[in-house]
Order: sequence, then structure tokens, then C-alpha cells
Amino acid sequence: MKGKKALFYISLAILLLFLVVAIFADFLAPCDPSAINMGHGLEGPSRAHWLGTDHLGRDLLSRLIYGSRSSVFLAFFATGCTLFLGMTIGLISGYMGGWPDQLIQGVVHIFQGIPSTAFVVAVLGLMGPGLRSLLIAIVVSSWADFSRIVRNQVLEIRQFHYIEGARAMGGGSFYIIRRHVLPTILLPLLVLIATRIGSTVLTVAAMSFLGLGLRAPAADWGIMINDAKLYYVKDFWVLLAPTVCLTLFCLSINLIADFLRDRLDHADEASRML
Amino acid sequence: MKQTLGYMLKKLLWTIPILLGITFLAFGLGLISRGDPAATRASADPNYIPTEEEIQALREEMGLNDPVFVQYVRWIRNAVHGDLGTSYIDDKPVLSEMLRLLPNTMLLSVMALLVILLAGFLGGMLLTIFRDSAVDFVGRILLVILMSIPGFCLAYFMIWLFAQKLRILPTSGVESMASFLMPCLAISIGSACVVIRLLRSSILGELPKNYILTAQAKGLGRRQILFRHALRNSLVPSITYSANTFGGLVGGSMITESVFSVPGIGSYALSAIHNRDYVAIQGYVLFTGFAFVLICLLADLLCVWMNPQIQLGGDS
Amino acid sequence: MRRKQRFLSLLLGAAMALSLAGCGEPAANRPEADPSPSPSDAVVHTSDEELVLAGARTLAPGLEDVYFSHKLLGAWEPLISVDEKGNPAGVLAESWERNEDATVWTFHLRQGVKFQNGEDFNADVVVENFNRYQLMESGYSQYTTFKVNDLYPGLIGCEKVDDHTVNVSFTEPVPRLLFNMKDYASCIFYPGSWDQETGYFTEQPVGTGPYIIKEVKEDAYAAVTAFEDYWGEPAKTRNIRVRIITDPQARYAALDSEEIMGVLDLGAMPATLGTELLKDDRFGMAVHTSNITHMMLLKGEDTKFSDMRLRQAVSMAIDRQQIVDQLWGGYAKPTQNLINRMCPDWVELPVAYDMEKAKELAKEVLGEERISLDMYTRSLYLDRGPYKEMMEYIQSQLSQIGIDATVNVIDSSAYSEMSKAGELGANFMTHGMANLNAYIFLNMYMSGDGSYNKSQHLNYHNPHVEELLTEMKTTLDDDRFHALAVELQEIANTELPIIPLFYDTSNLIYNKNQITGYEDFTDHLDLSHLTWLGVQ
Repeated sequence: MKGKKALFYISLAILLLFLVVAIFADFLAPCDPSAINMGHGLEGPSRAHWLGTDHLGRDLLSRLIYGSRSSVFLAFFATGCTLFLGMTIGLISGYMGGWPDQLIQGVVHIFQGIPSTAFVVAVLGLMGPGLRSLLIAIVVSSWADFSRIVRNQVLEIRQFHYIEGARAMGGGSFYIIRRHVLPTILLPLLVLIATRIGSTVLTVAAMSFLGLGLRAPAADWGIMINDAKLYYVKDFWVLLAPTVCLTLFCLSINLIADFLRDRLDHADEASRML
Repeated sequence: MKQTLGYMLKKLLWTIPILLGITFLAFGLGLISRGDPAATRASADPNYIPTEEEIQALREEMGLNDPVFVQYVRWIRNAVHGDLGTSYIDDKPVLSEMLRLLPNTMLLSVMALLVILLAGFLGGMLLTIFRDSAVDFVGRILLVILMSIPGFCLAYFMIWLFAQKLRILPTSGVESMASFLMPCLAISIGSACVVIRLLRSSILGELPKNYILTAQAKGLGRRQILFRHALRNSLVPSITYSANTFGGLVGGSMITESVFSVPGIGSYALSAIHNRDYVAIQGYVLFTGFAFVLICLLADLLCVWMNPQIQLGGDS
Repeated sequence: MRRKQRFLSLLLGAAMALSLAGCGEPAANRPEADPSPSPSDAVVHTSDEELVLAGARTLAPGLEDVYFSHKLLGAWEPLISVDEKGNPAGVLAESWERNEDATVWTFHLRQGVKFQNGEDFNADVVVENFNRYQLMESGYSQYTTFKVNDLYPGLIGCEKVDDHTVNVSFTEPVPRLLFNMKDYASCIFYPGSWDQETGYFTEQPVGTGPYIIKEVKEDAYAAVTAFEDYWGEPAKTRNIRVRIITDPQARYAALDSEEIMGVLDLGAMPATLGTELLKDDRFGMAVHTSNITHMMLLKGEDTKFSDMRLRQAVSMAIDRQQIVDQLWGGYAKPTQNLINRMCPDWVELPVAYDMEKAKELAKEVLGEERISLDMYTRSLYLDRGPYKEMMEYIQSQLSQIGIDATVNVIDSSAYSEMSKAGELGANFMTHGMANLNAYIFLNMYMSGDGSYNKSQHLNYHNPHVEELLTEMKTTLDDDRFHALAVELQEIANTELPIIPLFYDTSNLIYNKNQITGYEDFTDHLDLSHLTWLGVQ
């Protein structure tokens, strides 16, 4: 158990490190991430460029640092949006019950009926690549899971007497949600949020890999991996560096989710989602 | 038993509006498309720029000037008759193209499913047996690491290792069964890891339950308890997850298929997307949606059959 | 504890068996797979052994395509092709002449040519094929659209004179007809395989080429086998299979593992990967000149780029040699000339890179102001070379002369919509001179009514150019035509209606330890010349 806890703290530290790097990218990056120096492409690590340069002679380390800003922020933001939408709908559905619940559940089932990658790609492909489409695609394709879990949690909680009590005492819906429902579903939600952030980072990277992600010359790990496709046989660093960052980030997030999950009841539905 | 049948019936009935909804969604996707399909088609040759009149004539011919609802009804009516339209790019019927490519994707998905189930089952049991020991701990971390590596990096690494260095597997293509091994691993490793973890956690969740304790008290062997009772009851989430994954895989995995040059549903969708061929994309979304829903339904029914108590856990 | 161990060993055993079953099969199938074949271990081949090549796209798209297969596959042949200098050369037509005003062309056909179904090639066949051409207003092909009105302007028809002579007549003079007829434009198939109303094939057509298409597995490969009664030099290797491997990285790996012997077609091997492969002495590279020019088109309509000086500034700010060396492996050729070097009327003109001059010129136009420019390319170009990288480089160069550019990759449909609406500030594209008639190409870009000048919103106008083009269109004097072509090229080189960047080369990598024949021609690959080395 000690090991697990240590692992959790290490993961948390790594995650925080990524966040700090993302926030303070401007101060931390040694060079301009998009300064091109074509004569000096694919040079290995040196004193001027700690991790070497990419195919256009841009400083790899600076690109990684700015890339963390784009990748990490995007993942957090997209998950935040999904959470907001999914939770609102889930709360409404679960709290109201009756036909609105049935209707919303129908819609949820429809959205869950299409595999999420297929959905993301279709939306992105049809709307054209770019930050906006990427956000929309991610939110639209994944809000349903959130809302269903929130709704089921709410249903479960509603059966508890204390809510009945609160209602009897004249508490408004909003009050009840804030006071009783939200705190109870927070932990399972956290697990879901964490896994979702991890999978969002991977989805964004995959979309960049397919050429459907953010636009050049944005520094983003997925774009860096995509760029490196043709050059890594010459200089392995250009592929390895963003891959390691991506993996490390997902790893830390997944381990955190794992730890949180362990603290939940195993029979809990949220823990079974992933 | 009656309850079980009722539940199954309810599930089946639920499927109908969902499938209908998917048709709306698939058709709706075409509407948000920004490009003008007529213009796309007229400029299929990159070195040729079509005139305005050519494009207008094409719009008329393709029925793009009709109201949306008319287009939807026409689309659905044709779809029911097995006609998903013809691609705007190369004039080939979408459905027959997908059916032509389906065997490759299907083979890949079935192989992947086998790997997921086998690895998931063996791995899950292994971790359960060694639970809370160093093996379990290290194994779980390894699984998380494997899950965190982007699939395409794994794919390139495998090509490098198995095809270029060891030369035991072909790099790409579909000319022999061996060509399917690497793509199959590339799509299944991540999910296999998830299943291993799921199975482990659900068995462990099952163990402290009353009936197990009773069995223990009755003096049944550890292995017997594990295999007979705990496993059977804890397979449900793993099966559901595997079915979800399989349902998704039948819809094709774009990255893997394109990296390994496997002509399948995924690579078809990808090229449709690059061409903004929205008839093909609609057909693709419809197809994957239906495949996914039906496979998940099947898995659900399987779970109910295995463990009739399940419907008490809500309508999931 | 023992139980645990037993279970573990069971598991391990199962896993081992599984992995062995997985690996054992292919390993057993490929006994020749040697992890490090050295050049001294000459592999022995038989002449019947199938030679496997790969390209990024299909060479046999099938019935939807007006040519059915790519010319490279060698299934069909044209009447006219070009020699390595870009001059017309007869294939199925042996010789030709025209009347005084170039409205009637007479072709003498090659005799003794048989189709792959055993039938004779003769004048009737050519007449039928011309009837087919006339059906094609805009025949779809993924290689080059067949537009009869551009290729055969004012075509009246083709008539048989005798069994081996035909006359093709026009309503207006077509002095450069032979250049228009190159390859695809005069493809010949055995009649009967196409729809009499649309001209599209209804079954696999039969040609006269050295190879018969034996099997096409869509999206996987096309297999050809030698045609025994071919009229020309017989194919050196009996069976060839051209696989489709879409991912460049996978083509690289397939070459490296000797699954394929060579790559071909557009964007066969990105320069960086090619250079890596050449470090291994198993591989050789055939560098073929192509008719493709990479270019940048600046929208001139309502923009500052209508000022010639700003276009010159952009051109001078780009170090083309740098792009070619760093991104295209040093094989392409920098240019500022509108016309491709394959064209017989091409002349070599100077290419300028001078950042200081560029800054001055830009300052004359812009003053202290900075302008923004949205640069676009189509996603399909990313498969043909490091386009994004090039645009990112140009972006950084332009920022030095006061232009803040963005780099955007869009797909074809967004492209056609935006280009129609004139939203492409700068457009990066390639233009292949599919026919080597210099007039058609110059007219497209330089005439006020030129199709690209208009559709790309270049807004290039020069009355003197119009006069020259008018004369060029109708002149029957080949020397005068050439002189006009040169003068227009010189004007374009200075005034830059568009900004050409460099001439493409196709760099084909092949396994030189095992096959030969890749370098027999400087401008194309001929499958019938490929041979296994060390045939027994």
C-alpha cells in the first residue's frame, strides 16, 4: 500500500510539473519554438539545443515546452467542457425523472451508439481541422458517458432519505443538488475526469497524427509526432521526445485515476467504466 | 425467468429508437459539412479547375438543391433498399465498397477480440492470484504504461522490430495471414490491458461477498471458488467492455489500417474524410453505429443469460 | 504456493505457445529471410519469379477511370508520346504530316501490332477510339482529366484513309497537336469495351502494351504478366506485382526488409527516408525528371500583391536552393520559370535570392506597414513532399519582409470552395505539364482570360503579353513559336504572375543488389526493362 501511495504522489508531482511548465512556458523555453533555422535541421543534443533540433532547425526542447501548453490545456479544457455539458444534462435528467429523463436517456443512447473515434473523426473531417472543430468533436462525442454516470448516481442518491428530508424541509432543487448530490458524485466523477483527460490527450494526438488536429506551426505533441514520422529514422530524438512526454503525461493521469478508483467501492459503476 | 425475458425484450425495443437516432445523426453530419460536394467532385483531378456552370449542373444532378427533409427521406429509403449512395469522388457505391473491405476489417477485429479475451482472461487471473504482491504491483504499472503509449507509436515500433530488424513479419498489406498479426496487436494491446485490470478489480470486488464466504466456509478449494463462482459473476464488465471495443473495431481503426496499409473500413473512412466525401462518411457512420449498437446488444443479452441478476443493476 | 506456481507455468506455457504459433508461421514461410544479407550472397532468382514493387496509390483504378490503368503499368499504349527532350515521338503512330494550315493531320500507323486479345491494330481501331474521345467532355481520371475540347480543339473527327492511315480534321488550326496528344490523350484500346454513350469502360479494356493486367485486387495490388506477342522489345521480367502501400514509413520498412524491390509513382519515397536508405549499399536511386513544377500562387485581386515589386520581394525572400537541399534531398531544381524544363520550348533563366533586395522592394510597396497573408495548401500535397515544412520555412522568411503569414492545410472541397470565393491569400500547389504545348500553359497563367489567372484570382495583366499570346496561338511557324515562348518565359520570370519554386524530380529507390533497369530512362520508369539480377 505504501508503494501505491508513493506512486500517487509521484504521479501528482509529474502532473503538476506539466501544469507548471505549461503555464510558465514563456519563461521556461530557452528559444522561440517556431524560429526556423533550416541549415541546422535534425542536429542532436548540443549545448545550444539541449534536446537537439527538429527537421526545420527549431529547438526541440522549446517546442516540447510550448507543446505541453497546447496539449495539456486542450485536454483539460476539452474535458472541462465535456464535464460541464455532461453533468448538467445528467443532473437534469436524473433529478427530474419521468419523461424528460426518458427522452434524455434516449438521446444519450443514440450518442453512445456511435464509437467515439469514428464520431470524432467524422465531425472533424466534415467541419475541417482546427481548434474549434476539435473541441466540438471531443465534447459532442463524449458528453454522453458523463451524463449517464451522473444521472445514475443521482438516481441512486435520490433514493436516500436525506434528500427526501431536505425536500420535505423545503430545500430548492438547486440547493439539494449543490448540497447533497454534487459532493456524493464527486469522487466517481474525478476518476472519470482523470481517465478522460488521459484519453483526450491521446485522441488529440491521434487526430494530429491523421492530419485532422491543430494547424501548423502550432507546437503540440501530436503535431510533433506527426512531423517526426518522416525524420525519426535519421534522428530518433524527434520522435522519442514528444512520445515520452505524451506517455508520461497519460501515465501520471492514469495512475492518479487508478489510485482514486481504488478508494472507491469496487462495485461502483463509475469504476467499471474504465 | 419471466423477468429476464422482459428485460431482454425491453433492451430489444430500446434498440429501435437508438438506431433511428443514429440515422439522424449520420445524416446530420452531412449537413454540417462545410464543403460543396458538387465542387469537390468536379475538382477530383487536382490539376483541373471546374467552371461555375459545371458545378451548378452537378448540384442539380446530385439532388443537392432539394430541401433537407426530402434528401433525408430519399437517403433513408435508399438505405433500406441497401443503397447508401455512391461516392462523390469515384462514383462507386458506398455499401458495396464497405462490404468489399469488410472481410479485412472483420478478420482484424475478430483476431483482436481473441487476443483481448485471451490476454485479458489470463492476465486478469494472473494478477488476481498474485494480488497485492510485487508481481501484481509491477504488472499493473506495466499495464498502465502500455495503455498510455499512443497506438501509432507502438505500431511503428513493431514494424521496426518485427519487420525491419527481426524480419519475421511482413511490414504491411493483407497478402497473408501473417500480415494481420502486427495490426491486430496494435489495436488490441491497449484494450487487453484494460480488460486485465477490469477483470482483476471485479474479481477482487466479488471475493468479499457473502456467497464466496459461504463457499469458503463449505470448504471449497480456493481455485474452485475463484473459477466457479467469483469469475463467473465478475466477467460481466469485462465482456461488456470487450464487446464495446469489438463493436468499435468492426467500424475500422483508421490509424492502424493506414499505417499497415490494410484496405479496410477505417482506411476507407479516412480517405473519404480527406476527400470530404460526405456520402461515404454518412454511410460509414451509419454502418459503424449499427454494428456497434447491435454488437453491444448481443453482449448485453449474453451477460443477462450468464448472470440473470444483472438487470437489477439499472438499465445500463 | 505450489499451486500458484503450477498455474503460473501453465499460463506462461500458453503464452509461449501463442506467440510461437503467431511467429512460427511466417518464419517458416519465408526461409530466405536472412537478417543481414550481404552483397556477396547473391540471391538466385528465376526469370519467372514475381517482382514486387510498391507505390502510394493504385495504378489500376478500374472502370471509373477513363484510362483504366496508369500508363506506367504498360497495359496500353498511346499513338504519340515524347522523347527525353520533350519532342513528340511515335508509339502506335509511326509518322505523321499535316496540311498547310494545320487543320488536317494524317497519321501513319505502326504495322504488325497486335492487341492482347490477338486482334490487329489498324485504322478502324483508331477511328473508334477517336469516336470515344469525342464522347468525353470531361472524362474522369485520377491521373489527368480527359477534356476533349482542350486537347483536340475543334475536332471534327477521324477518318480512315487506308488500313494503316487515318486523317484527323479540325475546324481551326491546331499547330501543336502532337504535344497535346502525348500519352494519355491518345490512348488506344480495343473497341467494344466501352459504353457507346459515355465513353466509360464497361469491362476491362484490352491494350497493346507489353504487359497484360492479370489481377487487380483493389487497394492491395495490381499484378501484370508479360504479353507474348508484343510488337516491341519483349518484357524482361514475366511477372510483376505493384503493391499499394499508402504509408511512406511502411514503404521504407518494406524496402528495408526486402519485401519489395523498388518504389514507384508520385511521392514514392520522401527525400529524408530516401537518403537514409541510400546509406545502405543495397539500395540505389533512379532520379527521373518529371513534368511537375512546385509553385506558389499569390492572390493579386484587391491585394498588395497586384504590385509586381511585392511579388518580386516574395520571390527574392525565398532561398529555393535551401528548400531543395534541406527538404527535397537536393534533387529538385530551383526555378523561377513558369514553364517546365521538360517542355522543348523551355529556356534556362536566372533564379534570384537576395533578402536585402527583397526587404527594399517590400518597403517600397508597404512602407512601414506589415500585412498578413493566409497561405494554403491541399492535404493531398502532403503525400507528395514536405509541403508543410516548406510553407513553415517560407512563413519565417516572409516575416522578415513585413508579411505575417499563416500556414493552413485544407482538404480538396474546402479548397475548391475557398478558391472560388477568392479566399486563398497564397496557394501552394504543383502543376504538371501533362501536355508539353507551351502555349496552353503560358496562356493559362498569363492571359487576362487564362483559366488559372482567373480561377486563382491572380489578376495579372499585361497588354504586350496578350499580343504575344494571340500570335502564338495561331502561328504555324515553329521557330516563331519558340521565339514567342522564350520571350513570354522571360517576361514571366521578371513579372512573376505566379511564383514558381522548383522543378520536381521523382527519386525512385530500388534494391540494386537484386534488380536492374530502374535507370534505363531519365524521365520515366519502364516496367518491361526491369530484370532480376543473377537469374538462373
